[in-house]
This record gives sequence, structure tokens and C-alpha cells, in this order.
Amino acid sequence: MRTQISGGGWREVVHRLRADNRSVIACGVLLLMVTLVLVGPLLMSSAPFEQLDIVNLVHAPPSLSHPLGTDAYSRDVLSRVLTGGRISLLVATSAVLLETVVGVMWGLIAGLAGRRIAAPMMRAVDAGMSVPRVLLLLALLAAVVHVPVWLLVVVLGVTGWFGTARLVHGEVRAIRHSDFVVAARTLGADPIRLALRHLLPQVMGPVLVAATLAVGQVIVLEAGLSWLGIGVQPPDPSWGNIIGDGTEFIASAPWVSIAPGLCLVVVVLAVSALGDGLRDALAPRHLART
Amino acid sequence: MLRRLHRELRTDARHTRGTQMRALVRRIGQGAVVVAIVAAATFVLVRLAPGDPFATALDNARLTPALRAQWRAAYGLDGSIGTQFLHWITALARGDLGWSTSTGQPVSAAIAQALPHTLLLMSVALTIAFALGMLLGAWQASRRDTITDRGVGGLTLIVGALPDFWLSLVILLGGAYWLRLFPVGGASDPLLPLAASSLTILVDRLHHLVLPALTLVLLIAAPVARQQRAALLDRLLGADWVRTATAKGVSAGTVFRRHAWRTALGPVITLGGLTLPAVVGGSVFVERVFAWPGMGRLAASAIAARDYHLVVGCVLVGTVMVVCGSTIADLLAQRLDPRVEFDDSHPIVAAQT
Amino acid sequence: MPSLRLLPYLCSLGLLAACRGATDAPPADNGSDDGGTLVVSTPAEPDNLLPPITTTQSGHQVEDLIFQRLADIGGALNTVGDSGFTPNLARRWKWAADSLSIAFALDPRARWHDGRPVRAADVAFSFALFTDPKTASPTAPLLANIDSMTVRDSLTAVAWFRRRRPEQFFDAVHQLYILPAHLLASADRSKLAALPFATQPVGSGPFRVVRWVPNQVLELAADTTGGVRRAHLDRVVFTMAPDPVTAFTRVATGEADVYESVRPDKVADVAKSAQLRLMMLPSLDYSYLAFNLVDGESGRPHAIFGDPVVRRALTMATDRRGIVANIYDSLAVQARGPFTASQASADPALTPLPYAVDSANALLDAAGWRRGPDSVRRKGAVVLRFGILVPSTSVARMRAAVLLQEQFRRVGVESTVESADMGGFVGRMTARTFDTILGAWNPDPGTSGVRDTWTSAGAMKGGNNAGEYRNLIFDAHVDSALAAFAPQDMRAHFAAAWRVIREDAPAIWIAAPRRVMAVHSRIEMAGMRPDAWWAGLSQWRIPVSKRITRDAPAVASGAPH
Repeated sequence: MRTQISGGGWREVVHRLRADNRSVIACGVLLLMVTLVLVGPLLMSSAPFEQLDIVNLVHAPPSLSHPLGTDAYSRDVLSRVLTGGRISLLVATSAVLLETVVGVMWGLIAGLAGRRIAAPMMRAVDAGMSVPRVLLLLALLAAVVHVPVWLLVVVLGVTGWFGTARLVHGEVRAIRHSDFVVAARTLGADPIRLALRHLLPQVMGPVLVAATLAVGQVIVLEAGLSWLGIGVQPPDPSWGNIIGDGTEFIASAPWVSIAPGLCLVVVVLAVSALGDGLRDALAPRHLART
Repeated sequence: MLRRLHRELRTDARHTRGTQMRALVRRIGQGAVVVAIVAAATFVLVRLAPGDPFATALDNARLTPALRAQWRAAYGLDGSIGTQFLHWITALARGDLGWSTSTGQPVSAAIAQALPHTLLLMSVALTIAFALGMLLGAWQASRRDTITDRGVGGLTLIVGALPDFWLSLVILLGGAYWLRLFPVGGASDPLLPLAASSLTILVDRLHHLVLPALTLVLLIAAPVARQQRAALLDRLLGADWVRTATAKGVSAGTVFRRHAWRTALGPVITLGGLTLPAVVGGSVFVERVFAWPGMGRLAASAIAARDYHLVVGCVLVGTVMVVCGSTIADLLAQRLDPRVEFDDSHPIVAAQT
Repeated sequence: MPSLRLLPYLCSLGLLAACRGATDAPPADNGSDDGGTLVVSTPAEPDNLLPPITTTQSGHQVEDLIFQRLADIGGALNTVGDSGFTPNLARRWKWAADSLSIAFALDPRARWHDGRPVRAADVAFSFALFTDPKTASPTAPLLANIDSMTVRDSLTAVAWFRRRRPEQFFDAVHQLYILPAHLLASADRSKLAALPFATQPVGSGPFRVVRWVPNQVLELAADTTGGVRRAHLDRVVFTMAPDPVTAFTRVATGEADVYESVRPDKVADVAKSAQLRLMMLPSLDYSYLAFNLVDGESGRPHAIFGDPVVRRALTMATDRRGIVANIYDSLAVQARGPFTASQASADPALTPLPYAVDSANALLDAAGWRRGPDSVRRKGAVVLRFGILVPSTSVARMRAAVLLQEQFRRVGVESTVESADMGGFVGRMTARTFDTILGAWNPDPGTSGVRDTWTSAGAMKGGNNAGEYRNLIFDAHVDSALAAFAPQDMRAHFAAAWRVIREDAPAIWIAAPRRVMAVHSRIEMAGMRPDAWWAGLSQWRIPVSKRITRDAPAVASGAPH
């Protein structure tokens, strides 16, 4: 799947995206979600950490004063879901940004470098990919005494860049022998400039698609970590830890885990639709390009 | 002249085989390097965490520092990390993976007990998931952009987006508690008589396999279906030979059925290769909820119990199997699509460009 | 379609499930009350089954069933003198005139599970094994008052004590499991964990180990060596599931019979179920938030917690009754000190520090901690901020941490919840790398546990007094209490000690939960003790009329008799 984008290419990509209904709706949904989580908490009457009445107001069903009910600590679930959205989206996008940047850089360098440098770099990538990500996260987080949000982002990012690196490495290796690259090198072009101006746009296509999908994956992964007790730490909410807290009470107080679960699913759906739309926009098959 | 051509072709063939053999050997060597990196990194990482393997029982920790020091010495944990690593390597050369403090048996015994359960669950789940996913993806591709396609696509997205532990719990409670059709976790019935017939044992195992396999199938089939749909549409729409075929009057359906599989299989094999760590490592969440005695559960509890040797042993065994598996997968992919070069720049990706 | 492939399997499995349900008719009456299978569903797993090196509660649980002690404590947990004890391996015992030795007369019918008779040499050997420095047993310090155990004749063993103590009989009897000398005498004592015996032990108790598949199942069968059967049940099977929800669901569906810690939100379900019975027992557990009183690096008093006024203020800022009600509903009471009501050392008249947020604020202000612009208190350069170390595996304590955090916030104290896995929690506790720790103790019956956990003796590096609370007056009261032979003296000294520790407030006492168990209704229980609900398991029975499929005779299981 060759994704050639030249100078005016990005404008065409955006144009195609805007023409695709599915992507437009997905963007709209995401923007709505972002607005909700940014503005929502400001409109709430009770703070997400406020425990209103730990004896009498525990697991109160949805009502006018608490549209999504309360949780095990008598905290307002709606407030927590909105604030949690901030943290979940922030963690997910930052972690994915980190893993994309690291992966792209690693893949670019490995792709351009000679075998002596590239081989150990790619072996490190293979090593990282052969261990299940959850185990790696468990081991890393066990070694740390206190896990603030930024550290969680770093740990998530550091365990997720291997696939991107391999993808970029493959793409760079494939096109480093193409005519214009060979020509540029023969003419003495600076490799860094070469990488940034010519190679990077070529590889960004599949990378962007993978990144959008990764956002959803990271949100779900953080949910699992919170269920194990090692995700975002209290009292900060995240969709993940609200679901984790509420899972035990699925039968008696379903409203705790349903709301963040729905938000999570909506975001993943929107982000995946956007990813699909990006993929179609970057490599339109019906135009039969060569 | 013909004879010279013949000789040249034969030399070429031998030359290609020779190159392939060299590439294979190089691949194996690189695999060994990968295993070494993973083993060393894990070895160091687990020892960085606070705590040690002794008295991890929370409520009755009666080990004084003197006793703790004695136990550390007895288990070989009192030297520097370098010394410990050397001991471990020399033991490994003898085939000894060390002693597991949390399960009270040699590490190799613990892994030998857990590995078959994970392999069973994951291979059953993956086979069904891939078959289901590929069929679903192909079905979607053949009905591109219709309501069915969009609907199924949305459904696969939602199912694939569900958190593992949440889906596991819902399926466990649904199938075992609300419907009472299946046992509550575990791999087999602990009360089954030892003298039971093989058929009873087999049926019991299958009975226990259904719910965890169902969970995994739902989680895995979804992305496989999406990948398959995308791959089919990539390869078939706009590809020269397809246009030629349709121009010649071959129906779209025949094109799909006869030719879609070979070229679309490549990305599926890649995806399969990417799931290899999970096949051997198991799913931590699914195994925990279903009390499935596999590698995921073993490794996760070993980390919590600071059972250093068991953690490194699990990761080592897992990595070795993954490296072997991916080498085999690459060989298979090369057989299927000879355009692929078998070298270290990840041939599958090269073939995709 | 691929799903059709599964359809025949699904049908046959469904049929199988239906068939299994239908055969719940009781098997033929064999005339005696012996028989039945008890399945215990638990998330915990023993580390090993060799008493000197076992550190898990679940390990001791199984060891209580497969090994014998010289005598057992009664349900009243009277550990002073010997009147509260019932004979077990020792049929009778005789005190020497100076009370510095006790001669135990062993039951001549006692047999090891391999058929060999139990002799006094085994008792002496067990003591030697427990106390050998090479074994490095954590139990050895608890046997410190016993100088030696000797053999007078093949059925009489004598315990020699260093000092007279109220609990000296308890010392000699409770911690010492009797082990077979003929199987362990030649073992390398520094490598006991590697012995096959550690996973396939041979004891002399009412049950013996049939098989143990780590992380899955541990099966015990009633021992019938020498034709004597001491347990009514045929089998006791422990099934392990790491997730507590899964473990509980096994009991809820009837796959298992006993679940030993039902969560409060499930209590209603159990009470409503006709198949299950809810059992509530007193227990010895209590939880607390201990302050680290020593600054790790310098060894000086902690900048925040070194001041008892701050500690008292923090205690009064917390609504402990509300916290207990939130976590346990009505299944726990507020802990008033390092003891529970079932212990002889309890003081029913002690009132804990009150919940008074205004007083807390006033005290903190007076101590120099003023609220800053972000409403977090400061004193000079030090911010009133600390971490709460919690084990991620304890649901109750994770809940308590979040509740405490919010209550601290209201008085201007910023706290972070630091959840650690098992290894990390114990590691940091022993290394003292924490600010505050949400701990819980499950003490031994008897009263001397407090010396280990709250006196200066336990405060040395790595000891169980995690916050390193040192108060000589408290120590003196505890020592006097433990040396007092008259119960009222002991209680008076303990009461004084509890008052000292209440004013010092080295920890916030949180909850003393009851043990809430779900047990299948067909089971008839007996002999349950607050420290060990399984203590009388050999007396549990399942009436023939109520038996179900899994109670079928052991002959079918192929287990050797």
C-alpha cells in the first residue's frame, strides 16, 4: 500500500476526508466529546472527588440531583465521568503521541542506517514485541513507588512504540531504493533533511492510521490497569478506573460502569472510523493510482 | 548454448538456495539475540521492584531482617545483580531454570503445568477467531458500503473496544451464574474421579473451555474482520489483474473466491504473527477472571509475589516460542508469496508496499 | 457459517449440563454419618505445607488439618494457663512443681499417615527443627521461652521453660506442629523449601494430602491409617481462583460449599438464597493507618508525624464509624485500639478519640500548620502532604484509603494513595519507605502479639512495628500485662496500655470486621473459633439425607484408602 503524498497532497487528503461522511461524523463526535469533558466539569455542582455522604448516599440510583447516580464513595458519577474523560483522553493522546514519535524516529534511523546500526535496533524492537504488553506494564509499574499521571503516560508510551517502529522501518527500507531517494543521495543531500522532507511524509500515512487506532487501545488498556489497581490513582477519575471500581457492582449498581463504558466505546468507534477514513483518504483505490 | 543456459539456471537455483539458507541461519542468530535481550532486561527489571520473594503474605509478616537475610542467601539472592545473572546463566546451561518460591516447585515444572493450558485456550480461540474474522471480513468486503457492511463494521468495532476484564466478567456471570450452563472458571472439574473415562474428561475440558474461548473469540475476531476487509478492498479494488479479469467477463464473486485468498492471506499471517506473544503468554485479564491456570496468570502472580526466577523463566520460554513461531510464519509467508524476500528487514512489510 | 460448526458442541454441552443437574438425588444410605465432600473456594493459595517455613495464612489453614498439635485452644481463646485447652496429640500433661517444665503423655494410638506410630522423639525433633537457626523459621522467636524439649520415654515428651509466664503452655503448644522425625531428620535444614515433603507432607492429623496442583486445587482426604477415622467428611477440596468475584460465584452457583469472606454487598444475596447459609463469626483482624514516626534518612522524628498533637488531630479529622459503615455496612465495628473484642486483652470501656473536625482544625492551627493559598496546610517549608501505602489486593483497604484521603483533604491535608502489589507492600513496609501505611493484622490467639507489633521490641529495623512507635510507658504496661497471672491484673495493665497508645495516636484504628462466611446449607458445622473457622473441620458432617452428587463415596474417586 503505497501512500505517496507530494506537496499539494495533504490538501487533497483533507479534501477527501471532508467529503467522506463517516469521517466528518467521527470528527464531530470527537469534538463534541472533547468539548464536553473540557467544559462539563466546570458546570457540575459537586466535584469529582467530593464524597457527599459515605453512609447514606452510597450507590444511589440516577436521579435529578445525580443524573448518573453515585458510586461506592457517594461521589457523583456524572461529574467523575466528565472529569475522567479529561484524564483518559489526555493519557491516551499523550501516550499515543509519545509512542508515535519514538516509533517513527526509531524506524527512520534504523531504516536509513547501515546494517550494523539497524540490526541491533530492530532486534530491540523484536524483543519488545515478543513480550505481552500487560506483563511489561505490570513489571514496570511494580518497580515504581508512586505512579503520577505523567509516569503512567510515559510507561504506556514506552511499551507501545514497537509496532510503529517496525512499520516505519519497513516503509523506509522499501523506498530507500526508489529512484528519487537514490538520486537525492547521489547529489549529496543531507540525510536528515532527506528524512524529514521526503521520507517522513511518505510514512506518515499508515502511521497516522495506526495511531488513531492506538488511542482506543490505550484507553482500554488503562481501564484494565485500573482494575488491577495500578492505573490512574485515586482520587483522580479516569474512565478506566470508574469502570474498574464499578465492575464488582455490575449487578447491584450498573450505572457506575455503564456510563464510562459507553463513553469509551463511543470514543473508540469515532477514532476508528476516523482511522478508516484517513486510510481511505490517503490511498484511494477507486482512482487507481500507480 | 542451451547447455550453458541450463548450467546457469542450475547454478542460479543453488545460489538462491544457498542465500536462503544463509538468511535462515542469520535469522536464527538474530532470534537468539532477541531472546538474550529480553531475558537480561526482565532479569534486571523484576529485581528493581521493592520487596523480595519472602513473606509476601500481608497479614502475618514475621520475618525479621536477620531471617530475611538468611533466606536471601539460601536462595542465592544476596549477591549483586551481575553475580546472580551469572549463576542463572550457568544453571540455564544445565537446563535448570531455577526454583519458584511462590509455587514451591522448580520453575520448569510450573511452566510445564501452565503452558499447555494457555496453548490450548489460545489456539482454539485464535483458530475460531481468525476463521470467523476472515469470513466476516470477506462477507463485509463483498457487500461493501451497504447497510450490512456498515452495521457489522460498527458491531465489530464496539465488541473489539470492550475492555477485556469487563467482557470476561460479563460472560462469566452470564454463562455460569445467570444461565448456569457452564462452570465458574477453571480448566477442569477438581472433583472429577481419577478413574473417569477419557470421554468424560474430554467433555469436561471442553465444557470449561467454552466461556473463556468465547470471550477471546469476541475480542480477537473483531480486529481480524476489520483487517481482512481492509486488506481485501486494498488488494482487489484497483488492482490491475482484477480489472483485467472483470473486463474479460469474470464475475466479481468468482474473483473473490478464486484469487482473493492467496494475496489476502499475507496480512492475516502478519496479524497472526503479531498475536504470537499472546498465544504463548496468554491473556492476563481473561485468565484471571476465568481462573484459567495458564502462563498469563502464572507470570502476573509471579511478578506480584516477586518470584524472580519464575518471571524470567516465563518470559524466556515465551520469547523463545515467539521467535520460533515468527520465523516459521515468515517462511510460510514467503512460500505463499514469492515476491517476499526473506531477510531481516521484515519481509511482510516489504511485500505490503 | 463458522458458528454452525459449534452448534453440535453447544447442544451436547447443554445436554450435559442438564444431565448433571438431574442427578442430584442422594446416593444410597451406607448407614453411618461419615462421608461427604466439602469444597472450599478461596482466592488464596498456600506457599508450602512445611510448618517451620510456611508464611501464608492459607498454608497454616491446611496445616491445622493435616498435622497435630499437643493440645488445641478452646473457643473462648483462653490462653492463660492450661484450662482453656483440649487434648490433641497429648492425652494428658503434668506440670512440674516449679512450673518450669511440663510432661506431655502422648496418645499411643497416634499414627503418621504412612502408618508409623507417633513417638515422643518426633515432638523433640519438631522443636529442634523449628528452633534451628539453619531452618530460619519465622516461628522460632515465638518459641523463645522454651529452652528445650526432651524425651522421657517413647510416649512422654517434656518441655523445659526458661521462665514462668502466663501463656507458657500456649507457647509450647500452639506454634509447634508435630512433624515426623523419620522423614525429615536427614533433610538439609537450610533448604527445606526444596523438599518434596513441602508439597506432599505426611502428618498425623485427621486429614491427609491427596494432591496439590498449584494455583488450582488442593485435595485432602480423611485419614484412616490404622483403621481409625477421625473426620466425618470424606474429602475437603480447596479450589483456587485469583479473582474474588470468581471465587464467590463458585459458591453462589453451588459448585463450591464455603466462601470465607463475603463482601457486604453480597450478604443480601446469600441471605436470600435457600441453598446457602450466612455465618457471621467474631474474628481477630483489625486494620489501621500507621504513621511513620521516624524520618528514614536522618533517624530523627518525622517532620510531620513526630508531633503527637498532629497525629491526634489527624485521627479526630476522620469519621471512622462512617468509613467502617461505608466499607462493611454493619459487618464490622470501629477498632478502638490494637485488639478486638474476642481477645482477652480487650477493654470494652475504652472510648476512641472522637470524630471532631473543628477540634482537628484547631489543633493543627495551634501546632503551627496554617492553610496556604491552595488550602493545604504548611509549616514553614514543610507541606502537610503524605502518601498512604495500600496493598492493591485488599479491596477493603483500598476503599479505606480513598475515604481517608477525602477526609484529610477537608482539614487541609493533601494525601496520595500509593497502591502496591503484595511484594511491593511488604517490601516497603519492612524497608520503612512509606509515609503512612494502611495495614491490617491477623494476630495469633493469645495476647502477646501486641509486643511484636506495637512495642519497642518490634520497632527495630524490619520488625513488625512498621511506624517504629516507641513509648517506654506503653512497653512497661504491656510487659506487666503479659507477666500477670491473674486475669484482672492482666486486663488492668492492658487497659492502661491502651489508654497510653490512644493518647499517643501512632496509628488511626479503623475497622474490626467480623468474619462473614457463605456456607452451603447441607453442611453441619462445629468447633469454629474466632481465629480459625476451620478449627473443628474434622467434626463437620453432611447428613446422608442432604447429600448431593459430589458427596458420593470416595471409592469412585480412585483415591487410595
